[in-house]
Amino acid sequence: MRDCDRFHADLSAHLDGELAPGPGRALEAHLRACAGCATSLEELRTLDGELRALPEVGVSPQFEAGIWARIHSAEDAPDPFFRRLQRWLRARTILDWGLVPVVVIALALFVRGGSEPLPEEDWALVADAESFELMLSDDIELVYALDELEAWDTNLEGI
Amino acid sequence: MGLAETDQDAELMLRLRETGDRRAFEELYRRFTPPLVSFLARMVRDRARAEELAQDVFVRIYQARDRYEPRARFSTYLFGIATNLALNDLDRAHRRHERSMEADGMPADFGADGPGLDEQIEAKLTAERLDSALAELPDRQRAALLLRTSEGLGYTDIAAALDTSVSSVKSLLHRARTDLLARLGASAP
Repeated sequence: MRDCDRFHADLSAHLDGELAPGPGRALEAHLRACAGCATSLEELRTLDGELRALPEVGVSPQFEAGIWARIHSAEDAPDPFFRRLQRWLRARTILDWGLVPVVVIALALFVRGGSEPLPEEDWALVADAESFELMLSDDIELVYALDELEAWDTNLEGI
Repeated sequence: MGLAETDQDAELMLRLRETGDRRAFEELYRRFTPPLVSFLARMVRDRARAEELAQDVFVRIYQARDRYEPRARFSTYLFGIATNLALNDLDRAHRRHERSMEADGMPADFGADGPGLDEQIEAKLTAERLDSALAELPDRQRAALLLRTSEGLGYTDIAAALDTSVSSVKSLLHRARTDLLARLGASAP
């Protein structure tokens, strides 16, 4: 009986032709001597035959059109940002990557040029500029001009 | 149904990859739609859902055509994707406790030129009993058994599809068959 339990576990693999040669020969010898296991093997064989004979499930006439509709719908949908980035990165050539340091340096110079620190004495003017929402150094010149106009006005009043 | 597997399927995929020939893709899905929908219908027990999943399989294959490499038989590739989709779908359904167990008019495509009426009725009853017993098997056992008996996949291919070892496949198939026999014996008239 212990032998039958051991061999019974191999019946399925034997049926599928997936049992290694050694255990396969041992099982075949056991099957010749054991009517119970031989019957179990036949039951499994019959079951497999019934499973193979199961009828196919019908498919609706719209099935094929549905495949293409879903493909086109996926193609028309905007790609998520990450996929677009992936595709963009994948399309870069060695030449493109060589340009990266050039672009980075150019950007750094541009940013640096646009935000030169002001001389210390001009901080009062920056405060004025903020009140006019003028933050760029070019605009601060307008504030200088305004100060000069105010001073001119004051001088005129004094005359 | 066992598929007469040839390299032709992989060649069609390569043609689609290399030239974008949609006729190659059409040939593939026309060839594989009946066994694929049957497999998925027996996995998820819902014919409409099976068709959606089958469409999903073909859409994924089409979208991944540029990355296709014929490392395994095409049917292994296709049923591997299908098995994953079916098991994920069943997991979600189990979690929602919404699994539909109704028979949904399962396979009943008996041709007019087939065997006589008695044989048709007998065959239909056998198929219905078998389908009901199959539906009660654990999902992975059912997948392994269908991949083996209906699609003729070897243990290595089934192991790849189920992301497990060959020895696990051997055990899954043994338990599936003995469990199925026990259920059929219990439900025999």
